[in-house]
Amino acid sequence: MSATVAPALDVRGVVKGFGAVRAVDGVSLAVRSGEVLGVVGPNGAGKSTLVNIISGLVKADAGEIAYRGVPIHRLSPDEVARLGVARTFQIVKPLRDLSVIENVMVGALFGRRQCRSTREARRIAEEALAQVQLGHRAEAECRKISTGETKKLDLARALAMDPDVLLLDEPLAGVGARESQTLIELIVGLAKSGKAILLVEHVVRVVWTISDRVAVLHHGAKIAEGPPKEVAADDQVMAAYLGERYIREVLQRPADDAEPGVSSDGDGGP
Amino acid sequence: MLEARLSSFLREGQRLQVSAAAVGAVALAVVLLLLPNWLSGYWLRITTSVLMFATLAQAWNIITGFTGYPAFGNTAFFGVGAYALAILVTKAGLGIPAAIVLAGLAAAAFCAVIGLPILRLQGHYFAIATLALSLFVREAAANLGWLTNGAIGIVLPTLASGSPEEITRPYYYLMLLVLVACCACTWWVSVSRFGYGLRSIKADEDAAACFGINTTLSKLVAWVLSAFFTGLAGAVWALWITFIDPQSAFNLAIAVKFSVMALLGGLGTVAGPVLGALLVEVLTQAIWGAFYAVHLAVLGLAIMLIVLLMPGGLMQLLRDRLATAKRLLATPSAKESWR
Repeated sequence: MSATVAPALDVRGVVKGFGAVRAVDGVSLAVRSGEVLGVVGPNGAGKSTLVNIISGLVKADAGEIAYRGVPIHRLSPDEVARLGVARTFQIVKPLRDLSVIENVMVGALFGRRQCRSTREARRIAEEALAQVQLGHRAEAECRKISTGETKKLDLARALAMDPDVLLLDEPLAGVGARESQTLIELIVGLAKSGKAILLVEHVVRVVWTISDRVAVLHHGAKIAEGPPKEVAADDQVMAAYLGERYIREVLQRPADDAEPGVSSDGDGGP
Repeated sequence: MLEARLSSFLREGQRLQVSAAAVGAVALAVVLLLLPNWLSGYWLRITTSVLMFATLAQAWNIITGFTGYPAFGNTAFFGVGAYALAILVTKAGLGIPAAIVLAGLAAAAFCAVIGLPILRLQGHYFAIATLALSLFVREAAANLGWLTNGAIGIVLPTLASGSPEEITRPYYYLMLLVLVACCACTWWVSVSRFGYGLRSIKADEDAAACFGINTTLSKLVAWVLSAFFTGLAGAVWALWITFIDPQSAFNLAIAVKFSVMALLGGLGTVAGPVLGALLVEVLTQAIWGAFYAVHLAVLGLAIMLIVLLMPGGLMQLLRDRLATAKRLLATPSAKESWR
């Protein structure tokens, strides 16, 4: 681990309790530019809370978060977003009353770009919609689009913000198989273009295929981190949190034929 | 080929729409400027009242329709505008135009001060807090006798004398000016970057913040704009009515009226609140004449029916009709292009 440059996103010892429950319990993670860090764990493991803390929506009880070496854990969500950290939502909240393209324009107008003209924002939004292959629905009312399209809309809006760091909270939940493939290719491409991506996802297979490193959360604590293959080989972790049968039947198969999707330089392992 | 023909057809349609809108706007402006020459004193008063309520509904639309914060207590700013004008004219001896502008600014400044704490509340809590604010300011106006004359009220000089038409005319034009300014501001909100921020806050404030919108500042600016125009309307109203006291200047019945008008017309649209004000005022007059004894009950019934039959307001109804018409018109032309 010879990191001479500060990671794009550095999370250190973050703690968050809700009443007696420790939702996030001393989690440390680092995501470098150009890599996908997959975060998995069962329901209630604290994945979404972690994303909420990084994006500034929820304030941590303890711990520090830095974006390119600059502390951001005391900033408000809009300040974090304007610096270049964009997020998507597990349950997408499209801005009702706005069309699909207007939803995406909001990202260009208020994200790091701070676009002053709505015309310029529209052009950027068109590009972002094309990237997620939703261009044909640009003028649709967002209450009339499907769940999968909502997910794409959410991602397009995050892209329109021109972020360095993308926090993707289950971007594939509710998305059909073919559309999933499109999004997976897009996410891999975004990482290659230099973005740091933190990917929280329930579809474990996808995380294993496209992540450079994987972190496993359980009861708010990080119990394993490393290249997907190493983590998958950690029998104890996998048996406890993904189920033995799942490993046997699902993971070991695609792990072989998904080699091209897995980046080779899986450094930063434990 | 087909695409080129289709897009030129659409461009043509857009040009027609824009020029139609321009012609319509000029015609409307001419009618509104000449209207006082054709109306009796009675109808001129009603029209001036429509202009005032349209302004209040439109100003409310900025904070409630676009931003999603139900500020029923906007009557506070109406009263502050009215009192500021009365005090500036009678005690400071200021000229009318300067006093009107300063009264609007006083309402805006007052909103800027109380806005930060109250805008931390959301939904019903915000609505109730604004109502409490309105009651608080009314009590303040009743008790700060050295400044406001307390419950005795303030008498203002009249601007014109002569026939009922001549007396009302200056107030008609002043209200018209305030309404036009308020509509221009709302139109700007509806197309600007700032407005996109407000509409995002209305849809989901937490998400809006995550997209980089400074929600606290945006909400505050929206409410301050709303208070400014509400204060201007209050100032012109005070001049028109020539006598104000705490009961009439901070009257919550005004809030009921302008919010019903904005809801009927369509929140979050520029034309909606104006149409709503016209509809309610004309309905009120018609019903008042036809059902003298029970006019309030009939008016209430009419409003309930309208809300039930068109929950999205007049503008939604018009948009739906227009969309249907466009579809019907577009079908044959599309077929033609295929040939």
